[in-house]
Amino acid sequence: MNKIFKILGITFILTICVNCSEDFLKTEPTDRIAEDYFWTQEKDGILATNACYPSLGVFRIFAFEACSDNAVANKTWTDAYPIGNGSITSSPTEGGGYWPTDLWREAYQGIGRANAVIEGIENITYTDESLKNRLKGEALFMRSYLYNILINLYGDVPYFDKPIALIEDSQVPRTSKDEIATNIVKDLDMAINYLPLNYDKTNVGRITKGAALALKARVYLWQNKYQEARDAAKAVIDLGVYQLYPNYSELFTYNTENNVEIILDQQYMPTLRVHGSFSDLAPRSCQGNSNYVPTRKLVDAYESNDPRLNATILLPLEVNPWLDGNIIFDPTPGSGSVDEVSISYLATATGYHFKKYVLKEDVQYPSRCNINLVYIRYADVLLMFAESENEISGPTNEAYAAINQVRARARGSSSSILPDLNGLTKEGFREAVRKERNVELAEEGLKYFDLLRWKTAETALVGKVYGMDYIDISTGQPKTVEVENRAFNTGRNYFWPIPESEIRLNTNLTQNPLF
Amino acid sequence: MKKNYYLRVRSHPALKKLFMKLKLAVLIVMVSVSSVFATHSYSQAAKVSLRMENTTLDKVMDEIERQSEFYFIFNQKQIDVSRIVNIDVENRLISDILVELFNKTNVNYAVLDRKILLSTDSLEDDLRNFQSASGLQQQTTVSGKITDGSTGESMPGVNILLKGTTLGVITDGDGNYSLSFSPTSNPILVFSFIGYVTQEIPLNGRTTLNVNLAAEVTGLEEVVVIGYGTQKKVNLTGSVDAVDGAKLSERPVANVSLALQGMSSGTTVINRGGAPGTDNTNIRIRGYGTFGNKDPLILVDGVTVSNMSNIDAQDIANISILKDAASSAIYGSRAANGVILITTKRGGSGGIKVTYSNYFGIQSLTRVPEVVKADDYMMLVNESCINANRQPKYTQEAIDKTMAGTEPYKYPNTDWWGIMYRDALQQKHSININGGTDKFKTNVTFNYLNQEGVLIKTGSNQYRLRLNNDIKLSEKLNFGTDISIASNSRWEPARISDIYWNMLHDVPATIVAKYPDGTYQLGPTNQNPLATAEQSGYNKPMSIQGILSSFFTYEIIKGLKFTGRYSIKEDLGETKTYYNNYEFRDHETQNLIKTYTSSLNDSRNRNHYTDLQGLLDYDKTFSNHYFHFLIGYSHEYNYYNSVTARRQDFYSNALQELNLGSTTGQTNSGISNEWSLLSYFGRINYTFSNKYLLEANFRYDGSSRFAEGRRWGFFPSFSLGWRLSEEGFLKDIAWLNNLKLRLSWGQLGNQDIGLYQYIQTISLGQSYSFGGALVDGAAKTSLANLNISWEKTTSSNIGIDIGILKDKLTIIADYFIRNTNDILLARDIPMTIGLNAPTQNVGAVKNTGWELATRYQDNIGKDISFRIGFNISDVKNKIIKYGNPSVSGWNVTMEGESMDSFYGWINEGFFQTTEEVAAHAFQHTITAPGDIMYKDLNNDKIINDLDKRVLGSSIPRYSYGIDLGVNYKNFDLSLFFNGVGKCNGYQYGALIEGPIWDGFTTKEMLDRWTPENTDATWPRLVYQTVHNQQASDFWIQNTSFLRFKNFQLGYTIPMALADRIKIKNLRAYVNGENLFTFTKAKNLDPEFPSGRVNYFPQTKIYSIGLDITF
Repeated sequence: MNKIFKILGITFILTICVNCSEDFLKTEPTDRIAEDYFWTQEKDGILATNACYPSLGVFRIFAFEACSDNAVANKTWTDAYPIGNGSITSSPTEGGGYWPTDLWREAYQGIGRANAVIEGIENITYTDESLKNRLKGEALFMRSYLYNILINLYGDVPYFDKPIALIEDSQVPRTSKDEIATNIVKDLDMAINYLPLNYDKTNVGRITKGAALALKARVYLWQNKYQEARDAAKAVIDLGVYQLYPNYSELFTYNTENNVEIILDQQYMPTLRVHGSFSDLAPRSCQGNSNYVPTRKLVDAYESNDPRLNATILLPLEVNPWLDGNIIFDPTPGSGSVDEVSISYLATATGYHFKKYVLKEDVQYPSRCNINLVYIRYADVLLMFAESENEISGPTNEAYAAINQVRARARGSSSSILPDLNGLTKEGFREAVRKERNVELAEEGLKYFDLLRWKTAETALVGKVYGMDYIDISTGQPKTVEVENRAFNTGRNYFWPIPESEIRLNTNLTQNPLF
Repeated sequence: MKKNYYLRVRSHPALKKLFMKLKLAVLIVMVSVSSVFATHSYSQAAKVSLRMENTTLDKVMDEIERQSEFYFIFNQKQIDVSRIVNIDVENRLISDILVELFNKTNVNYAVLDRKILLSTDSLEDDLRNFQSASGLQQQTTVSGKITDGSTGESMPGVNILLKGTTLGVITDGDGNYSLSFSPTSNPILVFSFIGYVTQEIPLNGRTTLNVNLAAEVTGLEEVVVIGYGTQKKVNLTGSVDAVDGAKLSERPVANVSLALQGMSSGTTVINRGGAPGTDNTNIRIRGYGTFGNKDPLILVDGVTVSNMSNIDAQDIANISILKDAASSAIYGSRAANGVILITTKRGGSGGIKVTYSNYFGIQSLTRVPEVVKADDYMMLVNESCINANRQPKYTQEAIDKTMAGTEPYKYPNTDWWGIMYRDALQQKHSININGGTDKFKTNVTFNYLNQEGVLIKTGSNQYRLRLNNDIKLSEKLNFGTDISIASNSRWEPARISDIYWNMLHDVPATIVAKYPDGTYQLGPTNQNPLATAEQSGYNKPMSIQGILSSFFTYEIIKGLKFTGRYSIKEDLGETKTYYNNYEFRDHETQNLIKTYTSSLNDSRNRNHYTDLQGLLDYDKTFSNHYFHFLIGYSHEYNYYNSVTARRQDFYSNALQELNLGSTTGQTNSGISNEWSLLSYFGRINYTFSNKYLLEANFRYDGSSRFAEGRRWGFFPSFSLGWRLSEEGFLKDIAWLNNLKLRLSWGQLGNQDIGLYQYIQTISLGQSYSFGGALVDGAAKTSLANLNISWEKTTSSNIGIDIGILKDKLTIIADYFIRNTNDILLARDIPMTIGLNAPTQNVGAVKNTGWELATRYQDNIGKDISFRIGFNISDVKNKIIKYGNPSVSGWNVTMEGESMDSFYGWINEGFFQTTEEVAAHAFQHTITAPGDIMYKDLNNDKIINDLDKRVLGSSIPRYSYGIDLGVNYKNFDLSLFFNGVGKCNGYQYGALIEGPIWDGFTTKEMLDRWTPENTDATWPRLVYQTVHNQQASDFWIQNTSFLRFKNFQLGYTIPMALADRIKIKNLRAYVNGENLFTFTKAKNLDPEFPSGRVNYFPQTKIYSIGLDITF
């Protein structure tokens, strides 16, 4: 028995001694990369640049549309609702929605990633210097793109052009939006130098020189620097890369992805990178959630017989284009249809639905759409050009040419509609461009920004929001669907509030007025 | 046997002669005979009177011999005749006098007619020899061995008496006995020993009778399991609560943690509800000490486990709860939330005992909310629409028809809770085999627990096997090996969380649950909880835990023991979630309303854990000093990995394996991680004169979770005890048998944070797509903190233990202060950094509290025994350091306040007039009479964040338990109550929205504000608005409660009957768990988690059960 003990005991003590080593406390992660090993290989720069792209989604097209007078958020608890009706607050818990907080976080996350690339890529040696520059250009663009959204919405914001490694480094005050805009333009100018005109098939969707130029035009236009805006827009036009796609109604279809009109978009692919535009926008009768629906005001904004109305909006009693068998879409109150206005928060509140980005291919899997979401297209550039040209020197021929090019494409083969514009005053032309932007770019998220930029939100986002007309069954009288009553405080609502938590964590920050 | 002894036979010359006749050998043998009360007339008749104080034993024996014909025979080397004794008896039998004289000595005695034999040796053989030598008549002989029922160790000195006579024996050093007597009808033996329950067993012709004696729990001699050892309760200096396993195993609950509710002062167990096979309780020892994981460290037989769900209550011998730093510091870096030590039953020696136990129970909901009828619901919705300037949703005709109830499929009134919840069966079967020999002891339990869920389509099966073996290789070397295997499989609908949501938020009573043709009606959001339950598919998690633990103990020299232990724990998990492909069509039009596509998530995970321990243990007593010394080493290592795969669009719902899914869009992922912990620990105990107790513990832990240079932490503790009752000045107080003061101080740690927090890492998987093909992306997602280290808890404790009337009444009281500093906290960082917050050592929390536990137990006559126990405790929690307050919904974490505090506006009742609205601070554009009026705390005429304040906390205060038990003859009855004196819960979601979001509508909403009902208890209803549902004290409920937690009535059949039906024991019982609840909380069980009702609800259970031992 003693022998057994001796063997057992000695083995045990040996095991303990072997195990005593401190090496046993060194555990290295095996399912993630320690930063020390990163920023060494060429592919690291590519991986890090790729990781910036999802941040394009900060621009939530449909929700932004519902902040404008073109659409409403059907569900009162969704993000766009309190912004559309002016009840936005600095703290999400007050019912003002989470968007001001979420967008802020998402934008700075993207900026952080772009900053990481811009700094980190300098540690990597590339055999092909132009690849390094291109990647840097992509990151510079991304940083500009996100800062532009931030200053558009919040005004002055904290500005960082380097990754933040220590919490103390985040304690900075707000930088003026003009100064940031200057930096944005600086970045964009660099990016314009670095970026190619286009990419091969496996890289399509990456940032191009044209995108950087177009964004530059947008940034300048926001600052009312019309000359610079005009020049940037003109530079895009002069690249000769972009044209209007001939058929407006086919612009947002799977077959026409990456067409000649697209300057900047977010790319998706089947099953692995998808979004839910169909379930967001489609009617309840085809498994949609009607999250964002057009207003009567948008329907009425189209000139008579403008084919863009039919391409953009589903009207009451139209044949449901997504279902087989000629089923009529009937949202009439009292009709008993599943689409009846406000029968559920999944049914349209106005009686209308959007059609852009709602594609029949997605009817079976409404949350698995992979249609690319477009952020900048050539028509926008033409209209930016027309607008700034007019502001500089009135409606010049060049300005008319630009706007009429857009109208002509919309007109298609029919000659009786959407006549070419001419003979307008500067003010008349301004009005015309604004109307044209509204209908041409409806449901692309730009209207809300235009309202803020033109300072017309204080009239556009006030008062009752209406939907379809119908005959009240009980009284037999014609009625109009009323959705909500909007308010816009001029001294307050041109900016979003800085998230309340952010002010607590960085005492150098100040809040926007009246929040 | 001994050769050189001197035999002394006293006086009686005639008898001297008799002895001389016997051969020497027989004589020798005879002298070692002992402890027999022979039934002979003389010894039964002769009475002796003695009154002798401070006299030697020698003189007393002389006096007895003088007064009577008795004479003593003994070996003078064995019997100390100079011992001073006091005796005062009047006309007593010799047997009584002998008890007086030799009680608490090692002397065995026997009375054989007039002969009194004294010896310290076993006497049985000799007795037989003597009897034959004396030519006595042939007698029945019974022999056997007495062992301790819980340890299995043999018990010397046990008194065995033939009932109704004075004939008896005492067991020898190995616990063996043999008793001969003249055959009588129906002989019954009575086995008794101080500190153990007396047993009476009919012999029924057996000649061998082995008996396990059960310890009587009488406090003082009770031994309590502590870290890496045991301690006599009387010598404890820390704050340790011991829960007897027997009290847990009586309770037919699915989780041990539920049985712990109310059992121990200072341990608050809150049942947050839970699906079958899951454990959803919060166990908090002495309050909330940290912002992270607040769960105590749990060890089963020395092996760390993550929860108690794999332990069966019937396997538990006892549970120790280490509450203060002094007792838990030996677990160092993981002990800050307290430690729970579970010890399972081990084999006993002396025959094999087989026990079968079962119970069958019916579970049902503890609370069912009262819901309005469908027509009332429709009326309320219409009213809320009108209040929101909308068209009413329902026509009067529809309301009338709903009320009439004649067309249930057109105008339904569906009781969703009635449809979705059911009375569910729970049953358990268990077989235990316990027994062994001196060399080998085993305890095997196998059990099966089957539980249907009260929510339809849910349930679980659990199988557990536990095998504890002890092998004695030599006198010095013991070896043990424990195996435990627990398998748990459960099932629930794939979209189970949607079911709660559907029931409350999506589907009012106006929706048909299911048409006779099997189709469903969908609510306004295209949902139906019954459809979700029946059609969504299944989630089936399965886990197997295996623990292998081997250990040996070697006694190097007397008092010095080395214990080595190696344990392996493997957890294997498998979860399959299959989502059915199904579509919903409108019942009438057959139009497609909603399609769900099929997909399967299949994941496997494995956790591998090993623990190598070495312990050196020494104890030594000399004169008044007692030393105990322990030093140990432990190395723990853990490795975890998991893989998950997913496919969608399956060929058929019936073929649920990955291969049958579409390869398009298939995904998979895999992770792994590891941690290790290296520890040195020790303990020193010193006791002087049984009065002054001193203990010191330390642990030195190295953890892989921290960067080099910050890995090692030292956790010391000290404690003192003073047993005042042993002091001269208190010794004379007869009723006070124990009075002890305890003082302790110590430091503990917490390392429970994510892994690799000190390494800045880059995450792959930030993917994107270009040109329709996926590309990888890589980015930093969280900020690392290189300086991260332990949380440190410093805790001080003062306690008092009182035992009165031989511990009939015991009182234990404690007061403590527990400060936690450097709390690991992912404190909010500015979002501008663009990364998730790192964990930092920044927080501090203080807990102060007291505990009181008292117990009274006694007998009334010989048939009735009873116990009354009461415990109560309270902890005050305060955040000392947190940084910027963080507000989340109705919760706030803020310095100076308690954790889990509610935060919001203060309501001032309802607005009654538009003038009041206009005069009051601005709340919301649509505020009108009938809305909740919030207090404008800063008088700035606007209700905003600045008007919010802390509105109490959801941390329960004043947890208490009341334990009552009565035994009457073969009946036992126990009643158990537990409660919380002060507690709040926050209601949210459907419970406060009801008709305004087309949801679940409770009856209390009928008393809403209307211009006609201004004295309402509920605000006006405004369709699809949120302004009345903002965080405010209006929605805080008082959730204190008193619960009739457990009722049990048992009956054990009498021995005689058991024997006739050839079993050892049989007990049957009826049991009720969570019988009644007294609370002011509305609608839900008072232990509901704050917020929306997204959880599996609490249940009660009525059961009947049976234990049979063969």
